[in-house]
Amino acid sequence: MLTIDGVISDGNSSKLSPAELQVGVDNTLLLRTQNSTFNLTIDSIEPSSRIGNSARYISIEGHGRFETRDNEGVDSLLGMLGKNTEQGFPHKLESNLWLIVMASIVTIAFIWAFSVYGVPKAADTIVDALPKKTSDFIERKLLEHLESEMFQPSELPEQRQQEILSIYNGVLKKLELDDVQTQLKIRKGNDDIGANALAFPSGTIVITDQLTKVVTSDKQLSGIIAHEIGHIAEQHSLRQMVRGSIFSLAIAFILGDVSGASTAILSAPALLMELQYSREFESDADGYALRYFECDIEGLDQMAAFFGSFDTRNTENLESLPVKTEAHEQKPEQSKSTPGTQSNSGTGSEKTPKNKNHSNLSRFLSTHPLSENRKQFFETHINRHCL
Amino acid sequence: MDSESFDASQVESSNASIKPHIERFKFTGKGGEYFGIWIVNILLTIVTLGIYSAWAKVRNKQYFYGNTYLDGASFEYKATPWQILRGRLVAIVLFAVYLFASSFLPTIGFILAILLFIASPWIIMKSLAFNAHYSYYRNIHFTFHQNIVDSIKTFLIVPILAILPAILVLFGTMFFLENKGSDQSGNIMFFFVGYAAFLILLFLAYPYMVYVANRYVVGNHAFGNQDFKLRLYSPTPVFTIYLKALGLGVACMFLAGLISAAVLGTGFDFEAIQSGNASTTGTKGLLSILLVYLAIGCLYAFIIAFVKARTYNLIYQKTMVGNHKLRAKLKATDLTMLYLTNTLGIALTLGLFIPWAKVRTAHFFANNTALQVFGDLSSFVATQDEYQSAVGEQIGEVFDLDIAL
Repeated sequence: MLTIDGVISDGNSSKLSPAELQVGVDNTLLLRTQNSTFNLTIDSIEPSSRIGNSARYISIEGHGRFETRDNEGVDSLLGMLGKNTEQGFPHKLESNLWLIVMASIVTIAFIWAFSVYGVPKAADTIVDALPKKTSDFIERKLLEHLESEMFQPSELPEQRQQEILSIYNGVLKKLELDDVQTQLKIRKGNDDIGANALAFPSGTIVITDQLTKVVTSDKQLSGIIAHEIGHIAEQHSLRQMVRGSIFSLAIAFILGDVSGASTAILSAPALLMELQYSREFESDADGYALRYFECDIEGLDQMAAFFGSFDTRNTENLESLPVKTEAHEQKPEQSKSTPGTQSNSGTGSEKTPKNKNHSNLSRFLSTHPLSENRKQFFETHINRHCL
Repeated sequence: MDSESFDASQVESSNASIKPHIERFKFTGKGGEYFGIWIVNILLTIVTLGIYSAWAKVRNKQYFYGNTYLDGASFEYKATPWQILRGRLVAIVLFAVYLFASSFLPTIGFILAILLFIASPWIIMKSLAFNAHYSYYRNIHFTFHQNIVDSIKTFLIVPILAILPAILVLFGTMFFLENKGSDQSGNIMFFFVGYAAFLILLFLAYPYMVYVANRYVVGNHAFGNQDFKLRLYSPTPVFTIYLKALGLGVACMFLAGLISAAVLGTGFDFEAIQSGNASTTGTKGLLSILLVYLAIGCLYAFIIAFVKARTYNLIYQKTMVGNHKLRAKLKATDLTMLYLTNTLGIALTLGLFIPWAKVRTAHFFANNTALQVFGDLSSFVATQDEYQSAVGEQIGEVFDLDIAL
């Protein structure tokens, strides 16, 4: 015999009365209230699903709702009556220690795999399906904004501009990207943009006057242009936008009400992940610079020197110059969507500290790989393939 | 926790023959137990590509409702996962459209944001109605009276009108400066005065909005046949809370300024830190700047907790259900500790502490809330049932349109 203590309320008023549910030896089900005892059929009761040890409710046809804290009792009662075993399934999972540990591991692994493989894959599918019109539109809007706020017409002599244009044409020709349409614009950037090169979604590359002055040779300039062409050939800026959207959507969907954490906490991983994607894109684009130089050891050396120079130049003489050596390219969407992070992470990326303790943090917080790693990237290529 | 501030004699009884007594809210959930529910919810949500999230939501709510007791009976959340799922699908489609539109076509995103703003009174109202309708206590459900006109007033017209003076002052200042020409240094003074007036008006608008929103939300709830009443007829107490918080904030800013100045005085290079170039400063400097940020963070948490605790106390103390009276006595310092320890726990465990944080929060609020009961709680009568759709509620949830009261 099994007895469960609880209270019952009829649903017409908020009055509660003490009650008992009882299963007899021959599996008869009884409801005892203060005044009387009722025989119940098994079909007339409808238990709620067990959730931890929170209150349990049993709807009883014609009598109202029985409420009890005796979860074990209700489970045994249902077992004795052979009723509704499947509704306890989530509770079985939720109270099984091994399963909880497994669930934690699987969840973490899944979130990792989803971020590293799932989001990029999905984003690529979407980007491939987008009409050219979309990227044209975004580029036009971005350019309109930047032309009015951040760019001025170039002040370089006409002859120098022509030289740069022919460098660009040379790079484009050598890279042999038949189906990639790009065009180069030279602009004077304001102080926020500084020495910079930008690749836009629909194929426009902008390099600033300041950049042409920071580089020490035309080889460096061609390497940077090859890098930007890489961004365009791989549609990096569009991909970054779509990846960002998917990641935020997925996080909101999965963790939304399961976590109850504040939006600020949830947006931190999203931001870190976007930065990770951004660094991948930068490395990919550096690959185009490699493709351009092939085994032109002088050019590769100069690229290595370009990235190597960020350390010394900043601390020694460049601080006094009006030109800021920023990230040598900044993807347009960053200046759009997260203006706050632009200057910090942008500068942090290229002004690599010599101090090694510090580089761990900047590695995760910058839009670009550390300049030192990029320098090594070019040096390693020489050692591996060109000697 | 003593029960002094729940002293029953504080209330003026209309019926002297019935002696009121205090019933405390009690939360019986446990962090470890809830962790299992939470992690299984996440796992099943992932495995089912998000579909289980509707079940997850219901189980979550049921866990917290079913562990909250008042006078020997628990609260119950009776919405079904299928309802939630239907609403959620609609909301997710809308959200995806919004997200993609705003990242590709900023203008369309902007238009959608305005549409969302215009629809927000309806969304908030539907959300409150859904939640109330499926919240039960003693097998009787709550109700939210759906008054769309009041909702529009509360969430659209009042905010616009409250912010309008501030906007007018700002534009007025700019317009004046533009036409006057820039010849004197008096212009700068004028600009600062105008800008300060703008900030002050903006600051005054918010407590008023909080007041109006609480009047609407609390006043339109009912339990069974008995309406909730918010006996707060003037925004002054809300203003007082925010002014005190402002005073605290200004004092903190001043303090932070002093500390920063002291640190900067020792040859500290902020810009080098921000750009990651710490070679000139070293670990010591980094540590002290970290401490300054930490101190500012704690003070900031205290101000937030102060506003939250005082507003909560004010609203609950003034709320009546039938002739029963709610009571609350949150302490800002305790709430600050709760916020700080929760944040620290979540950050250190990469989120695995979240279930404990939620349970601790529920404990804290339940322990500090009570109902002053006249007679007993058995005289509420159930009202007519009607089906409520979860669409509005889910749009509110997915777009994060919660009104935090």
